[in-house]
Amino acid sequence: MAILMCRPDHYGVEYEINPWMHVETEVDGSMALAQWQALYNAYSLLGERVEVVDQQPGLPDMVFTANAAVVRGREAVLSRFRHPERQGEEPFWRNALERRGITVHRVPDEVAFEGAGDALFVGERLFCGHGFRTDLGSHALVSRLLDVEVVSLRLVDPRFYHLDTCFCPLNERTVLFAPAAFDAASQQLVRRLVPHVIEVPAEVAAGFACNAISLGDRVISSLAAERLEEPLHDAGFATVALPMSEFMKSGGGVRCLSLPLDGDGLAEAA
Amino acid sequence: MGKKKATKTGPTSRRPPRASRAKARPEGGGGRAAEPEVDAELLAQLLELQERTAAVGRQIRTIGEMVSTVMREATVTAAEMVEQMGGAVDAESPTQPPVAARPRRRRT
Repeated sequence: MAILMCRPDHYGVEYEINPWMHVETEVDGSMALAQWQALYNAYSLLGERVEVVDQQPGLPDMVFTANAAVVRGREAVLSRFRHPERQGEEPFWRNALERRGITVHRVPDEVAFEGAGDALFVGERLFCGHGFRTDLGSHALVSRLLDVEVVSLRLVDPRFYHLDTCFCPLNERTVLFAPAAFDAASQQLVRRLVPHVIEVPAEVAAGFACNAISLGDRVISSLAAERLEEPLHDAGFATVALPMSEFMKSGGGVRCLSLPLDGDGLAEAA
Repeated sequence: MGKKKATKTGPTSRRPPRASRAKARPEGGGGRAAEPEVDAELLAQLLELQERTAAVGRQIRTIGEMVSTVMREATVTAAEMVEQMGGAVDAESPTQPPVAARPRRRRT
């Protein structure tokens, strides 16, 4: 598996499209780069190949590569961003994926779909979020394009505007899950469909603990994940907690900074 | 009739095309102004192009309708899925956002 990352050369909070973003907030550029580098190093130490995309000026959120597309094997569905501020990223992501030999599908322009930010595999099943960034109608298209079963989950708390801020597959049977981010039906669905659900309190999820990535028996996440060490340990996972303060200013963490290629890597991790 | 002064034309010229000008010219002495010459080959190409454009338009509409149908028919909400699985949706969780969304702003 390879992980696609984008170095924060032009990163900052330049607009507000989620409750975490405040244009008055100054991002410490050298700190952001150090935090990004620590994540890059963690992946490298764990034996993952990291592929880096150049960030384009004027597209500060390009660092959040998870939002580029959802990838399954050698196919991907490109994101169609909800907000015009991010739509300029789309051609760059298309090129980046096609250059890696991935066939890129698109949804119609009028349908919002924000890639792996709102689409996460648990085994062969693709859990998709809707309510803030992604339109519910896109789920059926993604299901057809990737030939996968899609489970639609409705997000109700704008702090958790993407599925990957409140739901994290750890392997084919286990997820981190912040129930407060979902409507009642979606909560029930997750508890019914996933054999092992590690529930995460909203205040811990608000520290981007669920915005994590699992590699084998390691869960790489933000510092807030230290509060999940016990349930993660009980489920057979070790926690790697990294500072993500500069990216949390834009509403992102470890997962947002990472797009696993070759599927989600979970089949290998399970 | 004196020699006409050359008129500058260009991409932004609002001057009507030659055929229109010919028709707009007042008739004199009962004689009708000559019809502009029609290039048959060019006309055939134009008609073919119009036909192709219409065909592409029809294809786009068909694809659009297919996409709408797929989206409408194939999308199952979580609540519908829970019901299909034989359960009733309970209302223990909030369905309204506990934090109000703020208006979007851009750094000036």
